[in-house]
Amino acid sequence: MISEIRVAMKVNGTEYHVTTQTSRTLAEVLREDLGLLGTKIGCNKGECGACTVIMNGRSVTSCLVLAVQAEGAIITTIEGLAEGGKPSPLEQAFVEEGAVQCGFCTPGMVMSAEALLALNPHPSEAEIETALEGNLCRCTGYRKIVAAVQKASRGRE
Amino acid sequence: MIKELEYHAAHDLKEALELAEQFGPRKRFLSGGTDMTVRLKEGLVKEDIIVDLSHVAELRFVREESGVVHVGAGATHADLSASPIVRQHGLALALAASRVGGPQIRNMGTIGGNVANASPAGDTIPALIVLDAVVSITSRTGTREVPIIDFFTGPGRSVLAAEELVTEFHFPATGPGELSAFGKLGARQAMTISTANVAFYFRIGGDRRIVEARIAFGSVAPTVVRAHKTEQMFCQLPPLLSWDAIRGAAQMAWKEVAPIDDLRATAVYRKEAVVGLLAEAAYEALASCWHER
Repeated sequence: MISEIRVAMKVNGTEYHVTTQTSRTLAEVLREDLGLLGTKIGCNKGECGACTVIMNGRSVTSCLVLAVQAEGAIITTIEGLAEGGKPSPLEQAFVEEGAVQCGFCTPGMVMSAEALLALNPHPSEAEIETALEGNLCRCTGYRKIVAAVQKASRGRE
Repeated sequence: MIKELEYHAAHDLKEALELAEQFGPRKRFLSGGTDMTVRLKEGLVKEDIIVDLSHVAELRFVREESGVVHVGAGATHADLSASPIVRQHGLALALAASRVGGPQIRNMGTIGGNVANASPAGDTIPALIVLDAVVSITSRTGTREVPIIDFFTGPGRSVLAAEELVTEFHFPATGPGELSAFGKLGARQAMTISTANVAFYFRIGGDRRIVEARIAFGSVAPTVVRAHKTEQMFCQLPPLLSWDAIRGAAQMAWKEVAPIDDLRATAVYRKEAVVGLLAEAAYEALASCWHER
């Protein structure tokens, strides 16, 4: 019975080797084994987007990824965006636009927006809305979130 | 809580097929995992061995060769919705893939998983049916080809044997005078399971009449269904763009679907929904097609 597996993954630039049961998700390993509590678990079935991280350049809901599937993956979580202790321009734009209410959806929103801007630095409003359609904000502060992404986009080359 | 499973990652197709033969019905394939991981959490997976296909790079491709579009089972919904080949030569499939879940789901979920799950609500299925797609099913002993319409035997059931894997879909590339599209209705715009969905393919003659039509509906029967009588109605449409005529032709769908009442919608709602979805998508597609010509 092979139910414990050693998984190598690079998270926020650091190489990790984790031994985990096959039943655990990437979200659980990030939070419980690596202590990266910025990644939130909301619905735990891929519908709310709170657990969004960037895996191999694409946004994914980490509650739907089995940790063992992340073997060899390059992962960025919300903790990986700040540089030198300062918020990234995207995070700063969320602060300046007041795009945070209760804050639970925010890490997922930021990661979805980060994945968008990395591929498409100057998205249209419709493209921003599509990129964020997998992230729910139950405070319903969507307008300010879109405005924050637009602000960060204006600051990009 | 997910039960503990024996896990095997396949690194290439050969290894995947060997593992499939070795473990047979005790194993379940894992591709993108967007559906399977939820089922694991809900305790709905009866198999106790997982064979992970997510590292099998050779199943992830889209290419066009001599008028035929080939799509690997490992192509993600994001791959399909962004593919210029699929946009140009099988638009219904690109549109269907672009409406699956949200971006995160489309980045992980694959067309092979969507079809092999055999859900009557699978969004890529009606698109593949109207594009006349063929499924390549491979085992250690060889590959067989099954028309997609013959692939499904019931909700969650297909002709796939335990040692077999869906490896590819292929369909004739659509060209000038051919159009296809997809429409979906769910509880909300995104991140939703289809309450009803529709795909169609029309070939338009020189006199602007529809000379060939294929129409398929999802979430309205135990499997995705072709609507042959509705197709005939569309082939009898006058060569002018009339909402009333298109809506009238679509009305035949009422008689061709057999939905049930469930937690997502009632049967009557679904019948009315497929009529409206088909009429709106067909009107829009015909309008833009005629406008171009």
